[in-house]
Amino acid sequence: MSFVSFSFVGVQLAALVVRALTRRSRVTFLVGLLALSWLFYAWNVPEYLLLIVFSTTVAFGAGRLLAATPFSERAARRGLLAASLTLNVGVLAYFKYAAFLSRSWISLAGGLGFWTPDVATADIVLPIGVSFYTFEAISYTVDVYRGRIQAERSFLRLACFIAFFPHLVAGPIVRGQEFLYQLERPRRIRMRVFAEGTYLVIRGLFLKMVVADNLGHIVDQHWRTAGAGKLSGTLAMTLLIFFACQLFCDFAGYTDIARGLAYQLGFRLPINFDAPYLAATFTEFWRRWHMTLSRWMRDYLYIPLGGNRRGPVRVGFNVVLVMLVAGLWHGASWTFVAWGAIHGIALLLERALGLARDARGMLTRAVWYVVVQMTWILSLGMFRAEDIRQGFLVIQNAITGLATLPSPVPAAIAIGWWFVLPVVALHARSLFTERRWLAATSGLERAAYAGAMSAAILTLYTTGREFIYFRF
Amino acid sequence: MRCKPLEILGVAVTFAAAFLVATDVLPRLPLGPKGSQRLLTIPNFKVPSSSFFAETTGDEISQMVLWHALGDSIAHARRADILFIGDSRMPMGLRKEDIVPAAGALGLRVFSLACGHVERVPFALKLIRKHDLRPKVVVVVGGPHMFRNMLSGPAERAVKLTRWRAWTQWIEADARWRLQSWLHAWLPKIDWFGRPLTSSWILYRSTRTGWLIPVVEPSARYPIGFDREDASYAPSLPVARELAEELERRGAALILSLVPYGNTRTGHLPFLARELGVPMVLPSFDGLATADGSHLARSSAESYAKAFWSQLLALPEVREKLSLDGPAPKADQDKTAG
Repeated sequence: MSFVSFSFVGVQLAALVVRALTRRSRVTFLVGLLALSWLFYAWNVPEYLLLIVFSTTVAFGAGRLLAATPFSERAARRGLLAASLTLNVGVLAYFKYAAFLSRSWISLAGGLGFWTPDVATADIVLPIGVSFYTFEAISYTVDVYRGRIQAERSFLRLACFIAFFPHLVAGPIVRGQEFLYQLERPRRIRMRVFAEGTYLVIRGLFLKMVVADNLGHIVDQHWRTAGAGKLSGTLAMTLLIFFACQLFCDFAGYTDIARGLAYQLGFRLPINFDAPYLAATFTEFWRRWHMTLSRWMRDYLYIPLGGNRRGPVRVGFNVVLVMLVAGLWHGASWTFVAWGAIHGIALLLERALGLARDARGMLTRAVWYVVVQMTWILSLGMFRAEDIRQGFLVIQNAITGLATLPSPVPAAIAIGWWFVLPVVALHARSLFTERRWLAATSGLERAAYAGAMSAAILTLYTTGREFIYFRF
Repeated sequence: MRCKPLEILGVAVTFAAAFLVATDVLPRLPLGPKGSQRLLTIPNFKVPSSSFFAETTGDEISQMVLWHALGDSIAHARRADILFIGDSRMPMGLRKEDIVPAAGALGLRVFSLACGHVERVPFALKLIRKHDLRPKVVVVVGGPHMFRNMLSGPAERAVKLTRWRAWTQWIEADARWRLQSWLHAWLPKIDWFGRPLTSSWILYRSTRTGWLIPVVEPSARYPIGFDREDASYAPSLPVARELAEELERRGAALILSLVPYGNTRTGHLPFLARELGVPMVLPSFDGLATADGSHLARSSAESYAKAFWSQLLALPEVREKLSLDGPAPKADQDKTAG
């Protein structure tokens, strides 16, 4: 179920009614919340509800067993953790990567003349949100293993944590310590918090329905031409900039809606985007873009691999491996592997040049800012491409555009710049706030923005485009 | 920290002011390619009783509703004495207001399985089998394309959906249309990309009779045209024969007919009627016009439907199946053939 649907409005209204009617009974509220969350998840393919129940059961069972096993029994605890991770990662691997792996094997082995299995994996439909809730289940189990949180005694609470519908299908990726305590005693909903939530929902809908979807319309229309190398360099670069803004607004819009809905129900979700197009280094970029995934990768993959502690070669290996996994997390395709590799190498280069540190000259900082943002925009050629070849062609085209004089952009494409303006405004406002040139937005300022954005939603909307991150 | 009433009032007033200013300013901005911003609205219309929104610019919903028996349409189809099969030209040429009351006067129930997007006989045949429809008479109304062995895009998608998904998509599409038609009756939709909000037709579909009902339609008049008749109609035969055999098993009479359009071909009717041994009904096209080059204009439809109905009732096969007593009415035109 999409946030931009009438069915979803029904679910959120029902959740608010349940919240209002069960003020004195926490358990009843959680039962209602879980029922609505599972309904939300089962809306498209009811059978996949079994997957999320399985994932939750594995995490709950592993947590209880880990709680019953003393820290002194390290081997037993490790065994439990490994079993839990194998089951959860196994589900993810089968549904998300089986078709990719079999296709890749068939292509490779077939080319070399080896035997290839006759497997039918093409029809596997990716369960919506599986990457997100599997990571949440894994982080919960690892945190219990590490003793950072106590194993949850209530299956209901753990199921609510993993299935909580605002963050279920496209994040933010929430951790146990950020959310489970909120389920023990749901907060009273105050007008200010509810209004804040409503503002976030309006902003999210604006970013999605007005900015992302209109830009998406332009990008979709011309992408294949760009991918066939038939667009001028200027146009290819323009499309990539539009896609960068579309992707940001699509995903940041989703996160805003998710956080707003959670606020309205009395919960707090972590922020996921912090004006990423202000980032002056690659390291900073990943602290601002999809922050919950970056943190997850750092805490549950990079640090266990040794992090920064094992010499420059190992650090380099760790960085590239983590970015490759992050790429693959986005989708089972070589384009995402290439996209991850680009960012892994960029991070390595930045470290090698010593540019990740803050204290640098103004000019170096400005030049590196341009390099960082251009690399991101160009890398999206691979992120959006249907195959590696198309990705290379789009990137090659766009680089040509950077190296030559700008050519005229047809009015039907240039119109997209109007939709880039809100992205610029959003980042400018964040910059002014970060630099303390302006105070944080006041209630009245937000009301004015919300009024204008509501008008834009009702007059400039486009419908029919699914959230991009639903595919991941 | 609690909100004070004055603070709440301030926020509400600011929100409303910003909303009003933006709704006033946005449509006036000279935006779009070369300032070509278009303001789209949905005209006011009256929703027909016992009907659902079927289509304006997107996919038609009818196929999904009929295939998955959503709502009570199929229940009414099961009770029908006469079933009509066709594409969108059928209900525009033989309009509900002309056919249904005339049938009702004889105590007959009629139901239309006709769907837009050039739906053809195979989908109707699938519907008849799936829902075990047992009418007494089936009238296929359409050109030779009706007998091509393929489904339309909406029908292809409908048969692949689960009933649950079909139902959710139906309520989503219906709610979206209700909101859009209410909203854009007073607040324009701004279009920069040449994407219309509605087509020149807005169609609802009666659940009681299955008829597509235009609540908004074009008012132009284009003459009826005729295409060359030198093509072979033999490729139409397998689907036509399959339908005839299925109807024979069900004890229904098959009648062939046509509603004229921009490039009408009629040669398939005598060919199929002869090959299958079934009657056909083909009123005169004199003085008819289409509203958009494809669908009969309302005024033309009225006279055409009247002639069609009297010719249909004059057929002995129809009178026998429907147990109509008394002498057959005099047919309006002379092209009724056995």
